[in-house]
Amino acid sequence: MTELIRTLPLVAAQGGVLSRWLTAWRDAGNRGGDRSTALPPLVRDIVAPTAATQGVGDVAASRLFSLRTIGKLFDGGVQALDDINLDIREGEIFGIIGRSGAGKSTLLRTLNLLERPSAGTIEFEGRDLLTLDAAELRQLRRRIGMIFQHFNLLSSRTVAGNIALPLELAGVPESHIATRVDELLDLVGLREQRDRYPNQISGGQKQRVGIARALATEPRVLLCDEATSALDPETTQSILALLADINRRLGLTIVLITHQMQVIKAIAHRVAVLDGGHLAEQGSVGDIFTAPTQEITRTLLREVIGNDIPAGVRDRAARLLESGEGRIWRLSFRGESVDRPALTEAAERFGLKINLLHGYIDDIQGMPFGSLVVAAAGADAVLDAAAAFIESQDIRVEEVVL
Amino acid sequence: MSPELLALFQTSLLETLWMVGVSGAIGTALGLPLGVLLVITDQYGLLQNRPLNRVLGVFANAVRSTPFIILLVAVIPLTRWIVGTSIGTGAAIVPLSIAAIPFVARLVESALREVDRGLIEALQSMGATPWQIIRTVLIPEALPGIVAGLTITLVSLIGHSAMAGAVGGGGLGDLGIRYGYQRFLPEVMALVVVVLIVLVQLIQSLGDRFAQRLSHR
Ligand SMILES: Nc1ncnc2c1ncn2[C@@H]1O[C@H](COP(=O)(O)OP(=O)(O)OP(=O)(O)O)[C@@H](O)[C@H]1O
Ligand SMILES: [Mg+2]
Repeated sequence: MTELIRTLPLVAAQGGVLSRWLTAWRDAGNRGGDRSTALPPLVRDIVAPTAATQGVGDVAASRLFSLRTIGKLFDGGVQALDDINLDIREGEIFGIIGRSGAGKSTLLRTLNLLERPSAGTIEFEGRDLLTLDAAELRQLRRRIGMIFQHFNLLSSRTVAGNIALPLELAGVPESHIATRVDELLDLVGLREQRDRYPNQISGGQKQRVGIARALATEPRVLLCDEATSALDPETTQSILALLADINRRLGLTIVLITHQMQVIKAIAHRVAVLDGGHLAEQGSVGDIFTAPTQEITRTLLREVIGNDIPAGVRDRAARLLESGEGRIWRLSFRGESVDRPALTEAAERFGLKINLLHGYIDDIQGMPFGSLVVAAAGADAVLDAAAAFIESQDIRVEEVVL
Repeated sequence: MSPELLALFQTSLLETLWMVGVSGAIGTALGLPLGVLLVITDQYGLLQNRPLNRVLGVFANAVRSTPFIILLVAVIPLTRWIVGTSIGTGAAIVPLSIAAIPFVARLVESALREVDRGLIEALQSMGATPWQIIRTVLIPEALPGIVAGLTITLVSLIGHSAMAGAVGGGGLGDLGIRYGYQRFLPEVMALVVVVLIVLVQLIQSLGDRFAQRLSHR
């Protein structure tokens, strides 16, 4: 939002544009319509190119955070982070996953220096965070919003009072605070709850207050530490939708930690996998989810990409193998290879008998991918040739050892 | 009960209220900041300062472990220096306040420790200064607990004020001892006890209700 105003002095000068736009946006959403048409033309033009959907694929997309050789050694001797190198790009939703204790929270908290790394450098918007003095750091933290698993709302303040808090801290005049709080209440759909206390609203509503509060100072990035872990699945969906919406419409960068792989699958663009304080791998969600290279990633993703062969299917496969020559293959395909009739072609060309055992096809952010487990019967030489052919069609072939 | 005795009773009640009120106010005014300091200078505190924390802690413990009747006498030189005399109601207020300060401080400290660390982190992530965190989170969030602590302080000050007679401070306790006990007037003693019970009851229920109203947990 800040960026909009900065880059659009003309629009900002007209006053209240942001609030009119937010109102229009909400109304469009309420009518179930397409919100993009609710954007005023100027804003739409500016938002479009920076929007995550377009910027994220570019390697050239500008970096918001650059972490180099980040390490964190806690007092007790725990090496929570070791040699972490990663960039977080402007406008993207960046996921961090890993087992409990892998260092996810520590990594996220180094981004706003709630945790000071013991090694390495962090740049935010090209500035070296570690050289800032206390006052500069406080100033900068207003540009980095944060939300929490347990919301961390002040029980002594109403919903509106909580949202106003960061503005009060920043010394924003009271008249501005009132308007801004109303805009934010509308943004997160909590107008009705404005005068309630946190103990009088639901968990999902509390997290909405958390989001509104984090957005109050118009940050460039929102850090989320397990923001949906304390919520039921339905509420999780609505919070994710809100985050995705904010990311898309406002071009806000989001960094999120979660144990729920569906969350990453649903809204993240890129993901980093932490393991014992190390960065195991990172890449686009499409790549990591469909072709994980590390064992830890495969383990974490087991629940969303059904790589396990069910026991019943195993038994069936074992019986098939006993009854004759053949192999069990797992075929993994993604992207365009989904559409190729490679299996049928291989069967015809090499005279294979193929028996389908198990499989699924899914879609991760527009990229189709899937896995099939088949029993292929034939002589060894034929099977080798067939496997090579299928591989040539961009389908990975793994022999499954039962 | 004779009219003179009734007048005496009224004076004594006012003396008690005066001693408890003033020392309670002074105890709060100095004990609250001391409690805050004890928390923020502690390890992992907002403004960690172990030596200062140690010194303040020792002071609080020393005062709190001194029996009040001894404290009353021990601080006489200080009392004389502050009030100009070591006898009377005004003089009793000095030791009462000195006893109240660490009492309030420890109760405030434990109320502040109840404040979720996550809230402090949330404020830090917003770029709040330590003072802003104290003002907008620590104290408001701990306020119900602080009010409960102040209620306890007032009640125990009423108890302590009964010993004020030792320095000629007057008050209900003194009346009970002098007339009820030394002059064998059991009805005076009974009345003193009843009034003290009602007073404590009143303070406690007002304090509870106030704390309850402040709490939104
Ligand atoms: N303040 C601290 N002092 C000492 N060790 C710490 C501290 N904070 C975290 N650790 C340790 O650092 C490691 C990483 O912790 P971290 O909280 O980053 O893990 P996480 O990946 O977020 O785990 P979870 O999924 O359970 O939240 C753990 O071994 C933890 O015990
Ligand atoms: Mg964590």
